Amino acid sequence: MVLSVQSKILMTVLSIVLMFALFILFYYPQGQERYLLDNYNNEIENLAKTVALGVKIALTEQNFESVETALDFVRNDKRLQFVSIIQNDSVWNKSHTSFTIEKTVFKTYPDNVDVDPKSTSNEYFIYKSAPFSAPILDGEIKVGFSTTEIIKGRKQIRNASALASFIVFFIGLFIGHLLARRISVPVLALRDAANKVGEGDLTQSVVRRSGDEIGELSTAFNKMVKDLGKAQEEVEERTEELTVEKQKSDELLLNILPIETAEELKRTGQAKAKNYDSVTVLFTDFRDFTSISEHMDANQLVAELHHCFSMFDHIIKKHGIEKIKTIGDAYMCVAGLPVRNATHPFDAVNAAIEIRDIMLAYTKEKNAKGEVGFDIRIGINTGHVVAGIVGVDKFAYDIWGSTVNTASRLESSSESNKINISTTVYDIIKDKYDCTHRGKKNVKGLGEIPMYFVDGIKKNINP
Amino acid sequence: MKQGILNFIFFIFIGLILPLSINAQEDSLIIVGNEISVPSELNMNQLKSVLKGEKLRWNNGTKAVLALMKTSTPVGTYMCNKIYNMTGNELNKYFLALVFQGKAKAPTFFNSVEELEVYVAKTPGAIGVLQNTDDKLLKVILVDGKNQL
Repeated sequence: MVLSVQSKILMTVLSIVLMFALFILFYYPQGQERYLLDNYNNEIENLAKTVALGVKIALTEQNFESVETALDFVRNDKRLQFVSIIQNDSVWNKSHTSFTIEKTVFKTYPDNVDVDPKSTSNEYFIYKSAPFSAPILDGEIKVGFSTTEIIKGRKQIRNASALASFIVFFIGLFIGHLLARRISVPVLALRDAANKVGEGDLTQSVVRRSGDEIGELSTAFNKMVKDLGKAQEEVEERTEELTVEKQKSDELLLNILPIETAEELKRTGQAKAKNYDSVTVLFTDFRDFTSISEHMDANQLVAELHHCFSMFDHIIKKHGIEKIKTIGDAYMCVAGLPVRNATHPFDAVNAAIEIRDIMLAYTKEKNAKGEVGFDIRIGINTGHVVAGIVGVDKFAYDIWGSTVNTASRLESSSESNKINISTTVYDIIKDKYDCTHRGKKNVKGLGEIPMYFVDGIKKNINP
Repeated sequence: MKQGILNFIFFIFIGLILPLSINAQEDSLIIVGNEISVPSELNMNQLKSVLKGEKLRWNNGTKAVLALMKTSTPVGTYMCNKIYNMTGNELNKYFLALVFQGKAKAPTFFNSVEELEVYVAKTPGAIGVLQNTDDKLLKVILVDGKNQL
């Protein structure tokens, strides 16, 4: 069972109060009764001594004034049962060698009380004796007092103690309740506020009700919540900045890597090379670019390449083709990876047609301005490649395989503004595109291979 | 030798004369009382009744107050014997018993006649026992018509 703070405080206060109340109820009355009894005994003993002294003075000095005064005082006491003069007589044995003291009652007030000289105190009476010695009389004064007053006083003490303990207990209960509330209410408010803060509500604050530690705790809590709010705002700002930066980073990464490869690289820290059985590799190149570029400064050259390759980027992106890289004035891309599909030859051919057409238009535009345009050559091949990343620094996504080499050779074997494709490509697209068979052409390193120019999409076929 | 005989005769004379002198004193006890409250004449029974603490008040209601010479004085000793027929110790025990039981007030005992006379003269209802007195403030009470016991 888990007790609340309020219950614990209340129980603690009540325990202390209960102990105090029990002390008042039991121990305190006992002490008071003992004190009362001691006082009573002393008082009676002093009375006996006073009378004894008076008797001694009366018998030796013949002055009865003191004994009369003492006796008046004793006789007027309502608690008095008797006051006696006990006479000690020496009783000798027959041979008169030893004696014993025999106590006899000389006089008693009131004279109707029968007093036993040897009687001792009991529950109802207290007996006290005081010796005296005079030439004519040797003995003691014995007084007997009733304990009725003590019993009455004892009852009064017990009743007063019971009442006091009752009052103390209920005052303690009241104070304990107030104290428990005073401590537990702010603590519970703090708990509730802390729970809400834990749930993300940083608008919480608690009212400081006192200047004690609980009050200081409330102030500290409010400051903590305020600081948490500020910290959260800063975290959100930083997160937003990091998100933007990450987005930029991702975009940059995606600019150089296919999305799947980029995700794999981010997730595992590496990207494994993958085999693709059938992809279509597309190469472009500007004819006589080297001789043309000699008449251009570097900035203009780069601007031209950037303009053209940007147009290519838009086109291949539209056809779902992955750009691999540019090498000088050459542009390399591949369809059918990293996401495999069955339309990659068509995608590549369509993109090639668009690239050729846009370059024709651009060249026409430049010629119109009196500037020299670029004639583009395009080569396309379909086949198996291996794709992946090599190296650990400035890594780049690339593809390898004979399919790539053949595509490159097809590009270099192409003609101005022509799309040169392999037999593999041709066999796939021939039903949708008009192509011109070029016969076998000798290609460096590959020997003679058949080639085709793509003229355009067949008239009755939708692209 | 002659002087020694004279001295012997003197001491014999003194030894014989002194007891006679005391006896002469014992013969003359008088009862004196306060001028106002004490009756002028009493019989012997009334006197003994008052002196023994049996009669506590005079007929006019005034409290009877006893004034006696201490029993250690010759007058006191004689008085004990003559009036109370007791020794001094017996008188003390007698009054102690009365006082103890609240039956009477004990007499006031004096060492000198003058003190007793002054006390009786000043205390209403007081009665005292003396050999004789010249105090005009006191009245000598007749007992059975006599002024001496």
